[in-house]
Amino acid sequence: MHADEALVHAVYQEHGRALLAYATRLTGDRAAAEDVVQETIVRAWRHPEVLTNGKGSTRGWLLTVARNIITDRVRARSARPQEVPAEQDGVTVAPIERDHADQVVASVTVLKAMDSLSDDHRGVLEEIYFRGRSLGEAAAALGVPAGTVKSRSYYALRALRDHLSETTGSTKGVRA
Amino acid sequence: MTGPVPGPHPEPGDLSAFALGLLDTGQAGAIARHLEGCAVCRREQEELREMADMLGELPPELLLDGPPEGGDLLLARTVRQVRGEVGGRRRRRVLAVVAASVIGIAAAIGGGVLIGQASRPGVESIQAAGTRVIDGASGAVQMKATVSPAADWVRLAVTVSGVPRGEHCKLIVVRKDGTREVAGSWTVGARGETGGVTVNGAADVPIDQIASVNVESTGGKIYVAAVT
Repeated sequence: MHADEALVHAVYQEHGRALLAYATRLTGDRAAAEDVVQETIVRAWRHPEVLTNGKGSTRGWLLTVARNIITDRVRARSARPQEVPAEQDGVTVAPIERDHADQVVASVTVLKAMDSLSDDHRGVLEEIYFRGRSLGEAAAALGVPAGTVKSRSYYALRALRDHLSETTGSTKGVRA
Repeated sequence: MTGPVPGPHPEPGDLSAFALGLLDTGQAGAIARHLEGCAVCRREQEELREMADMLGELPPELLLDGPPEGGDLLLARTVRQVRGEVGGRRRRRVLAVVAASVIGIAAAIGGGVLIGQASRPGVESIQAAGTRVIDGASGAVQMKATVSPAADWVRLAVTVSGVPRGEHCKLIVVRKDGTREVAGSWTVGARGETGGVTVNGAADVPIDQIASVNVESTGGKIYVAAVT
């Protein structure tokens, strides 16, 4: 496989699901979201240097790009309402909340900070937070005692905090 | 620390579990009582809670790994766009010329031969709402057609696999009244036979007038049809 194609495949395989789910939620339209993801991956291919960072940093970059594409398109459509018949490209784009830009900055920062965690620590947070598992369920899923889940969650949160205070001086600016 | 501390300090993990809302009512109550009387643990808990809140604001889908479900066409289109840019063969879309009955746009992934104009599909504009996906299969030949409505015409993105290498194919849109439009043509390459080829096209047919989308040989043999 050509190197360019390999890069596209790699980004798609690792980040495609997250990007498409995110873009679909923002646009409210799967077809529009696919276009956004396509363009996002193409931009990553044009800037391969961003892919040399950690997974979370890379994903944060992709997320920012996807969001910019979506807002650009919303803006372009509202600026040129007469150019095409209403139905021609009449995609429904869910209104993006006003504070969404701040939310993106916060998300990118957290994703980046998660790169600083060990796999064990990040795994615990993923189970608890993003899969919504209880203590017992997380312990079973990870194959460790509940006490280990608790202590790992502690070290994970501490490491996140240390990382964020290092990079921002204060967590205040991060939360925007 | 001044004043009596109610009981021993909780384990760090218990403080964290408390901040994350993982403890049952009894355990959580014990921690809460301790925190009331212990400023050190209270501060620690507040910091943990702050991090927990930040995580809680992260959209959960951002933690999903892996490729999207049903994203084969998306991947194929992305690869094709990158190839197009690598080759420096970016071509202008000619879709404005919808008066013409046929806008043959075929781009073959996997080394097929291009006939007509290649295009970067669906990039410049957001795909229209009301897109339909229809499937077809016949023997070893499989196809999946994504049909997007435009004003009075449709864009098509069709993935086809199983047609023998070297075969010249046409993408045909059949109207309900039986009339036909050629939406694209291509020659199947080695990888197009096994891995599939994605062809983009457009046809001057309103989406609600489409009876089927066919892949046919130039001799008229219907390899596969996706019926609406």
